[in-house]
Amino acid sequence: MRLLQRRVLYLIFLGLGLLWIYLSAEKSSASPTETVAAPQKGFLAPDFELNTTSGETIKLSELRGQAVLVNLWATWCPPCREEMQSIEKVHNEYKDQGFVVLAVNMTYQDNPQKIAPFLNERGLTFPVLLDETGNMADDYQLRSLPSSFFIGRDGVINEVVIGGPMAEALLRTRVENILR
Amino acid sequence: MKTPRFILLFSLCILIGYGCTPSPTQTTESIPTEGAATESPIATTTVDFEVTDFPKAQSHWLTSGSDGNLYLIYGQYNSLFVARSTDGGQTFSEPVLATGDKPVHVLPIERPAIAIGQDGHVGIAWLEMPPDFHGAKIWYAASEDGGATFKPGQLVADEPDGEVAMVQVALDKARNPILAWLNGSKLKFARSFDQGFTFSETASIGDGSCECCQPQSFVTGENIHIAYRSLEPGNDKGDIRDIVMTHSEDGGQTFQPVTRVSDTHWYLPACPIAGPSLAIHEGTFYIAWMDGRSEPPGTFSRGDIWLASSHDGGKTFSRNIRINPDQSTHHTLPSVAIGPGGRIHIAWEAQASDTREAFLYYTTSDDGGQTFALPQTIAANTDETRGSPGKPVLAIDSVGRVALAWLDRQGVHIATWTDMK
Repeated sequence: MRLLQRRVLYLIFLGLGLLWIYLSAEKSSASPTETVAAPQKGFLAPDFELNTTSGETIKLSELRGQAVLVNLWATWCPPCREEMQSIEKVHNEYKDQGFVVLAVNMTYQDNPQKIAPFLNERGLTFPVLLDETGNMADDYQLRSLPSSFFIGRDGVINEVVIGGPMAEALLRTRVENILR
Repeated sequence: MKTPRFILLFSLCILIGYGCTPSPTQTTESIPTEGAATESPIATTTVDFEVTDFPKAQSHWLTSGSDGNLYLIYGQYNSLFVARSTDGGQTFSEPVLATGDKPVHVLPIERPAIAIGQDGHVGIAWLEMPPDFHGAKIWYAASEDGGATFKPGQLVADEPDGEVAMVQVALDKARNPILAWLNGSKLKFARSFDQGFTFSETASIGDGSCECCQPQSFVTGENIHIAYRSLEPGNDKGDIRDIVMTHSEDGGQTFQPVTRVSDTHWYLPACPIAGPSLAIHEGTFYIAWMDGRSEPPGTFSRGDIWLASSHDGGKTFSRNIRINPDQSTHHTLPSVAIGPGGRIHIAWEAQASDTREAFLYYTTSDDGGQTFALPQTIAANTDETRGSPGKPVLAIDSVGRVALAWLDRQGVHIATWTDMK
């Protein structure tokens, strides 16, 4: 009888242990990077759909499989202006390998009339998107400009760079990291 | 000692289970900071208020005059409008187009410039951008009837090059306008000695101002004071972006070396888009601002609201007091105002670090800023169509009626209540 009680207890504790493992494993079976969107390294990049200056609509999640630099900027932001040429150069170097630049203008805090002359003057060829409502900025928890998000082919943020201008060499290294 | 096998097995399961438990997907580090004002909050701020809306406004500022009235200036499309309130902000006069047919550069991050002088004198200033957006013209216009009508604009300066922004205006006792603005990182200055009919040559006060942060200027007696965020060479973590103040004791002919208001450097290689706010009460200067000194150098995921005061005309400032008790949220863009009895009022915007929630907070201090009540939420982004409430501006009239203006996607909103302290 006593042996039976011990075996029952043994099974109960074993069952509890297995249940613990099961519950824990269920939560961690999908890593946060695959399921949770947050503007932080190791997380899925928050999705957005915005119009470009040429009227095209671009949705971030539809670029899955490509390496993406999302750069938040404004025309009045000096470090934003300074790093644009480096971004253009690196974009041209790596675009054939699947590198995409999405330069998102903080239009809700900028002068929309100033954007086209700004792009033409600098000969920038990458897509420039317009955040006219501030929704995208909220999703990316914008605190200062520029803010850059290097996103891997899996849609996960590989690196966040607050501020600028980014040195061209470091920019190139970061792009190569997300192209891997 | 013989340990039962099931205990060993259970312990093993627990260990395995613990190892399988996911770590927190988002952790928030709260770094203790020296100088917090709210370690022992004395009370919770609670005010009941009514709200007036200006639905098409794209930028705004609110100020009180010595006539006891409140003046609202706001940007809409390419013009500036002025409205006056004689009842503490509960109602406003019909807004007046103050800039005529002159095209105004209206930008939400820039506060429109307005100053109130004696006897119903109101001065405003604005920027006109050329088609290529290089340089700008700086304009000034005055009203002699409390903002009911404005004279045609007078050209203050024509800056042919550079990134001109953030023009400010103050009036001296003789109603002479004193203007400051940014051209890149240069802080520029011009003034009038004939109430705005002609202006002095533009002078450069210094070459170390944050290009995207609004300065604030004011006049006490014969002295001109300008508070601004500096842009100084820093280190590999970024430039130094402290709050500083400069003074002129000779009507703007020369300016003193800056007095540092921040007691700790803040390094940031980016545009924080947040200048200082200042208020004066019985000779004491109060300056509130945001910085991210609590974050590891070179990073910036959140900022705190700080307050410092000066009892010697801005020559020295007190230690910095942190106003926001919550250090898991990003706090920025404070506005400080002082009630007739000396109560300090501060409002600011806040954004949660792990959600899209945004708030407008308000708090008060009755002991000169040593302690603050727990903040009250005045507005929040509960309505998707409104967006986040931001850019608060506090103004208090001579009888303690408080007005708090803020901006969201549906324009400018002004909450008002009475505070007798």
